[in-house]
Amino acid sequence: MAMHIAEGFLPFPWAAFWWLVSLPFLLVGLRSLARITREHPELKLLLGLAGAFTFVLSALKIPSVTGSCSHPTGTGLGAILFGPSVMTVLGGIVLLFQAVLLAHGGLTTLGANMVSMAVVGPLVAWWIFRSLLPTGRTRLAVFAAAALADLATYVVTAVQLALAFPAAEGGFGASLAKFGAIYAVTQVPLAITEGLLTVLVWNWLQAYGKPELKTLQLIHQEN
Amino acid sequence: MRLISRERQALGRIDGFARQDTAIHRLDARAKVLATAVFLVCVVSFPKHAVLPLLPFVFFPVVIASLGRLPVRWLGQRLLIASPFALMVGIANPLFDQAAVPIAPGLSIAAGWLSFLSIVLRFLLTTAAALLLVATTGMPAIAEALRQLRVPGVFVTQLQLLYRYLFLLGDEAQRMERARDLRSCGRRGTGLWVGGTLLGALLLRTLARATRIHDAMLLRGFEGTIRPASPRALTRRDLVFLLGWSTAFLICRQVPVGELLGHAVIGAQP
Repeated sequence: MAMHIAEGFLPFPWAAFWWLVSLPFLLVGLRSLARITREHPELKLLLGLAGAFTFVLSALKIPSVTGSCSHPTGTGLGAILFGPSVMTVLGGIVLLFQAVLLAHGGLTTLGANMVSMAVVGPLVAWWIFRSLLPTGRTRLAVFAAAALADLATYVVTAVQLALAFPAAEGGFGASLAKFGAIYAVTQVPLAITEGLLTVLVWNWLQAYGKPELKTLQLIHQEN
Repeated sequence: MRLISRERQALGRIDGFARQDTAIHRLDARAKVLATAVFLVCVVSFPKHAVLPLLPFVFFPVVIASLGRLPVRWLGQRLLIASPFALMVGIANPLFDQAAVPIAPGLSIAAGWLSFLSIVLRFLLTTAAALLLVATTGMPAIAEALRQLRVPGVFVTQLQLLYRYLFLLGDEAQRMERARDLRSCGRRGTGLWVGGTLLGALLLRTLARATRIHDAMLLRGFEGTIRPASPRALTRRDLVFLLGWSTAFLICRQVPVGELLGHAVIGAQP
């Protein structure tokens, strides 16, 4: 089940606030994207397909330990392959499509969902991947980046919901505990699953896709 | 692990709806995008316990769905699939917010129930509006409308490319899924391990396909941007649609229309 904040869920001031927070990141991502595609026009189509791949990934149902079905966010793999600023734009478009085509998430909550899934998730993934890479344990770096990006996404979502809906008794803290508990049940096992899945994809790319990975390096360098 | 068959079908279906020819479909995409934006802002701007004032807004999706000849069953299914989030997160409200709110003489209800109902109603209204916008307009026309409304070109181009490739990739993923199922007889090879390697293969196919498509587009004279269709001016019908609905939404936001109608029906004064 998609765990983006649903359409119409956030009160207007909070929806507007998260839109405002997401905009600078989106603008930085757009500038980065404009520069990349100006210098390497051939990457324009590749980025479009990369976004489509992220969408496909997010439409993928994977079994969760809790018995329910959930889907990966794709932010970890996306950030590792395409870099965090490009991933902000691609993630934003993916969220937009999910909202209007699949009714996952929403237009009014797009800003909030972008901050959690297209800004914080990729930044966490990128930072962890880059920090762990010098240790030489690439698979561990990929696993940790994907799993923790997933967790970070849902921690931010829980904070966003707790800020918007503080409990009548206990305020923000009680509300955060409530939303955190809801997410912990489904998202901790899912984060581990997504980490493992990302390592499998990474192994496949390492084994059979060296030239393609070099092309993706080009996006990194320009990022 | 199951790949994206259901979502691929959902995309194809919504794309098919957008190709219909009705009065709503013929309206300019800009008018529909802007009217939907006003609708969304008005609906989410109500206080958290508002239920009755939201009811007049139901009129908009009902009118658009019926004039656009969109099946209610399809809309209901999409809303039902997406509703667990709203239900799951909102259901705890009655436990956390138990302050009594009078709703009729001698009758009160926990404020949490009102906020829960309000959340569900808002979710249904805004999600329906977004789905109906795409089903009556189509994503390519919406992208073009966004370009005309001064959304940055690089964003719109990526939006258009991404949408085009969704179908391509969806079909590719379905083919891989079918091949996997034929080889596994639906029993083995459906776990995480095979799924991960399938995804890796899908990504490599994606990249190879991007290269082939780029080469083909270059041969056909592609210069880096998808050329926008020449914009047409908004007609009187587009303006009536946009201004009419926007005014109605703003009135419903400011005036308690539901309450007034209720008093009119039961004959009491507000």
